[in-house]
Amino acid sequence: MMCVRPCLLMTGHLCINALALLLLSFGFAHASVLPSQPTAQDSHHGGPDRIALSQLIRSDWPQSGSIFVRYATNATRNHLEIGYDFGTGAWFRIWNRDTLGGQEPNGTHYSGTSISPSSKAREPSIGSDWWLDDVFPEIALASVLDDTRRDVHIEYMDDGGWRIIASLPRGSREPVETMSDHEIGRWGGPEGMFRDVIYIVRPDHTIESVTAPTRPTTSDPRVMTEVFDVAACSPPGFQVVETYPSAGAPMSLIDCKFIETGVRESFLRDRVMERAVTRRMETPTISPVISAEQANADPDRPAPVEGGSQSNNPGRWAFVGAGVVLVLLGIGAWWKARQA
Amino acid sequence: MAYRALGTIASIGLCSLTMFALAFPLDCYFLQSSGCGSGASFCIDDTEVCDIGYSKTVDTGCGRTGPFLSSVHRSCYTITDTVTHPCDDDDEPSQKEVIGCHDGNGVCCYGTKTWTRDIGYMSEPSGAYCCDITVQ
Repeated sequence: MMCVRPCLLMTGHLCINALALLLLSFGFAHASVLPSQPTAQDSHHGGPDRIALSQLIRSDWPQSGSIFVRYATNATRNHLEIGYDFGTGAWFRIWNRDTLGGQEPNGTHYSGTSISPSSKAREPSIGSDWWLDDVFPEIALASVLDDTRRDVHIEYMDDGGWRIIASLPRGSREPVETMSDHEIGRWGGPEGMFRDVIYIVRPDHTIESVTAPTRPTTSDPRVMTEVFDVAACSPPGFQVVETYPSAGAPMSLIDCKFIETGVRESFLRDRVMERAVTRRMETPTISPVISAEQANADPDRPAPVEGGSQSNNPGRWAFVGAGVVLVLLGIGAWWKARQA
Repeated sequence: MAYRALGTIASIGLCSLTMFALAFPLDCYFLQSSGCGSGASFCIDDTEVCDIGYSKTVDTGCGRTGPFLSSVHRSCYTITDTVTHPCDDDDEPSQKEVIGCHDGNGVCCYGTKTWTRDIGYMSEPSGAYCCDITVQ
């Protein structure tokens, strides 16, 4: 990936890159900021610097085409599948057995599970694609820079990269509009829920690391730094991570396809649902049906399901029996009528 | 005559089914987990929760109706992307999994579960998706 950027200078991106760099240089010079020496002046709330940097990052990306990646650990006990379409901004995410969501090419956002009869359509909101952040971290940073509701502080690094500090609610791009009052309250309320997130950007515009808090309490925020590598399959100018830095266990890239022509129908909700059901069937999480003796032989097995099975309810069986008797009576009446 | 008898059968069947549904609404079974924490440590990232089983009396978000036809691994997970949300709100947080935790005050935990290990087996409900304790 490091060698890709110089190559891009030989392509049609030259003008855009040069313009963006010019804007950035102007912005930093105007703010009189020394590299790596932040001052109040280089904290922006929508100034030209952040937009220019966002444009610089985005200008590297393919202008069209779709990328599909899959990550897994432990013989796919953890499985993540993500797709992104550069032409429309459509995306989808399928996590393990049940969870899915995405945005269709027409902008409709949806989420649901592979076991529910239909996934739910939702109003699109800024940041609803935050699920892509750990796989395509450049999307995360460009989106933060574009979101002028959030304060961003940009420092130019000696190595030619950038250190960007963004103040985000709960330290995440995840939208807070749909969150409960309880969740917002435990992070400090509407005014107190903002936390600093630090992005380190390499000179070639790939993201090196992201540092963010993982706990609501300010006294014990448990800051975590995720370090991002660059997969060999990354399309020119766009970072796909080789290792998904999941907190439980890092996941490895097992499949990566970039289709230059784009496959927009793959991002339709029904197609994603079909894909999720297929993955659900493939996952080995579901064990072969075991006998009751085997299940009960497990010493760690908890007490049986509270309330027991519905099939053990005697009243229920009485009703079923009465229904069967009534149906038999009906059949008898019909037979008798037929004979007459 | 035959049509009349068929109509009688259909009416009786429909009537008994309606009475059955009214008298015995389906139960919704909710996942229960251990390791949920409490107070300030309830439902926080990078902690481990483990499956206990399913309950029809403790609402932890959304679940499934019976019957219990399959056995699955009882597992432990690291949870991330956690959010708290009212247990009785059927509009679940987008793309989050039910963790199987409730704080006793009607607040449930949702997030992303990353499998870490198996600790046994448990029966799993395989009916319809449901979010309320009883499904009419």
